[in-house]
Amino acid sequence: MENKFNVVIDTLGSDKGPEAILEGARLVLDEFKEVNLTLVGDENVIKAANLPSERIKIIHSPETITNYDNPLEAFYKKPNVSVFKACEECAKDEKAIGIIAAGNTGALLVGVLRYLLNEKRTRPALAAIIPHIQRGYTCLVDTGASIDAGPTQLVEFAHLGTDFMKKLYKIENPRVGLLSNGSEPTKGNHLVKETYPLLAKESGINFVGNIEGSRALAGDCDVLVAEGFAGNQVLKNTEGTAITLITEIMKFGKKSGNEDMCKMIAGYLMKTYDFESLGAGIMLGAKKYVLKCRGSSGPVAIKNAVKILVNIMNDKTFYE
Amino acid sequence: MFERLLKVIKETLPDKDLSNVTEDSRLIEDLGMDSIGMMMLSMSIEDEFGVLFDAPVTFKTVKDVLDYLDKNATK
Repeated sequence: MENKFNVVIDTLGSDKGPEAILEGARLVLDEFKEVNLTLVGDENVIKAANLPSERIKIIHSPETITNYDNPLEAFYKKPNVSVFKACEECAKDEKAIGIIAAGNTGALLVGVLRYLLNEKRTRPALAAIIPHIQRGYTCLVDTGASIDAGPTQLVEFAHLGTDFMKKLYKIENPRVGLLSNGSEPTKGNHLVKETYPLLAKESGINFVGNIEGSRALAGDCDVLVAEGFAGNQVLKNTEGTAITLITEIMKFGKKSGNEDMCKMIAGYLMKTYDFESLGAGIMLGAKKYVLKCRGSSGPVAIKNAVKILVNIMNDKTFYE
Repeated sequence: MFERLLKVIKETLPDKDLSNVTEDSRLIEDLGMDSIGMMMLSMSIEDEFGVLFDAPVTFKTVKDVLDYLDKNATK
């Protein structure tokens, strides 16, 4: 099959090192013949992976940023940080449809702001796609790009999430909920109370009201809007709860002699809720697709992140 | 210059009531600017006033920005 588009991958900054990312790149090239890769990082390490040279472009940019670096300062002081170069390359390359990175989120955000910001200059938001119990997905936005967003920004997030769910899940009129500590319109902190009436009257938003954290996986809405701090807590707590449940199921299996059955249940839950299976979070509001994998992502997560882009390009739904 | 700068700040902080902003207003403490906001503001200032920052902006007050622009703005 003819190669159709490029994906830029930052190979540095992840917990498992560039080798894991490059192994992910190998899986991508094996499975998706329509994809070429631009790999940004240490040229020697990338070359050592022996990937097919006709399908990769290497950009030597060996500097990394740690979680202790200030990404903003690093942008000016460390020009060869790979994630910045990757964003720059993604913006410049007309055939590049997006970037995948597993390193420092703040640095990726700075790179996006500098090179990939949308024309309206709305603040980007980091969305997570959460599987819900009705066999669909909820777009949780924001999960940490803006810790102190205001009401107008939450309305922007609602639009970003709505556009995303329309385009990638073919949902005609996505239901938008607002994360709160109660479903009644009177519940919430100042931010939620100020945002509620704005969303209720906003054109193009199908607002269904406040949603409690306990309903995040219930499928009550297609887009769940939150400021970054609270959204991040929902996401991490959901994952933590899933891991705890899976561990308990496995323990019970051993104790009760039903190990095989419990392994099967745990395997199903892992597949459904494990971020390696889901691939990545999406930075909404950028000019191109920006996928943020977890720092601890392995090869499969990288491949699944590219699969998201392949599905987008093939007009399939997000996780088809 | 002050009005043009105020317009740029408003784009970065759409939720803030800027009617009482003065030259002495502090960007972080009084206007609630965060690090992303400061970066977006610096990019908007670059476009609006034709300047180019080579380090993260460290302006404390609106007056700091105006003083910088007095010396460096090219448009």
